[in-house]
Amino acid sequence: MRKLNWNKFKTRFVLSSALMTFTGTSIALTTDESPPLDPDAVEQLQKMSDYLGSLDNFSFNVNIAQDMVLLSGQQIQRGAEANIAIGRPDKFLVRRNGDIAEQELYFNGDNFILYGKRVNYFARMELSETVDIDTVLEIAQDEIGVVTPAADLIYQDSFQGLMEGVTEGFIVGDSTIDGVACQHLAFRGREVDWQIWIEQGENPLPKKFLITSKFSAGAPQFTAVFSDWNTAATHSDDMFEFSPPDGAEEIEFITSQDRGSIIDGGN
Amino acid sequence: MVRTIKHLSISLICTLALGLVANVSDKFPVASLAQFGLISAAYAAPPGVHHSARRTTRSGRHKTTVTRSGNRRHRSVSVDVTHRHRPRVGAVAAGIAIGTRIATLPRGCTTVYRYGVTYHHCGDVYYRPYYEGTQVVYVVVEAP
Repeated sequence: MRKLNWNKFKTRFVLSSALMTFTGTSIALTTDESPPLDPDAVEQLQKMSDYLGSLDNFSFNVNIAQDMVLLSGQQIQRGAEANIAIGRPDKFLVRRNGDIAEQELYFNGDNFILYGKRVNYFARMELSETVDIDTVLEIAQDEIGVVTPAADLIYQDSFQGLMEGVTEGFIVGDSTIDGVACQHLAFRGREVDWQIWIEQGENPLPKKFLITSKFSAGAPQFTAVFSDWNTAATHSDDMFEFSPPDGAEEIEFITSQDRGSIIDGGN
Repeated sequence: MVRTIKHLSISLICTLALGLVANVSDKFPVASLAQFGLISAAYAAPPGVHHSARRTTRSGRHKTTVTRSGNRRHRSVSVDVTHRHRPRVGAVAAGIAIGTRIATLPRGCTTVYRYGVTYHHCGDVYYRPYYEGTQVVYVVVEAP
């Protein structure tokens, strides 16, 4: 696989420019380097997306770290772990343990339920018909402001979402994550730069995903490290059904329609 | 100035989005950091990922019909989302407007159950818990 040496590339460019100025001749910048959006990098990402899209029942763990920027400029990193089980086309269960939250998200095709263990509250978004995972991910985000962890990679076609707005991308090279040989790719979008590490070989699974919010002060990062992939999981249907634990109380979601009429109380 | 406002609103969106992926909190997560002046958080997803759904929403009293067509995933779906207990706004209870939302209850509240619903009674004000994204918030309601 081709690897880029950016210093070499820059040096060559500067030398070529100098040479052109010096000689007054137009020398085409002969570059065997990759174009801004390297088709090989795109192809690697497409392979991962195709592979993820081909799975029916699968599960994985994700370890998340997210930087937050305080007014003082100081960055604070908070973390969470999530265990995600997918039953395509229309079921999932997400268990998330974070610094502040311990939550579960259930989707069984007709109901999307959020349960917070520490507060012992759950809320339900009922759908009038059975929808697939992609649809409920979008509805949950739009209607009740709930974004599912690792949603980017849960979509049937993760490639399309990830590549939206991407203008540059290249293969950084080989890398090892948790002892697994990976291909390291780097992409640039308008607001974020992101990198992904994909397992080499027959099972091109994402092993790590890093997003840099380049226009936020301090360029905070979001990192997700994936582990324990089970690409042929056996899920029982009832694992996607929520049974309220003792004392759990049902509350409501504030919806996108309500949001306009909610007054911010300031704390 | 316009730029600044835009930037601030992006920060706010990031803060709300937190609920989503990582840091989502059961319990006033962002609020606790907010006391130190939280201004932004790293995007938890490439912004392009969630921005392309096109839909029309038709308001109903207790129902939202979400019609999705021609979006990037080439699906066309019409789905109703039911909402049973929408927060009411407008009136003023004990000097605090109905519909006011806070992330942390004041001290000295008592918990009251009415018709299977928990209310927090704080002074003369009743709060009802809601999920705003994945965060629990309390909204001022009329006395149950």
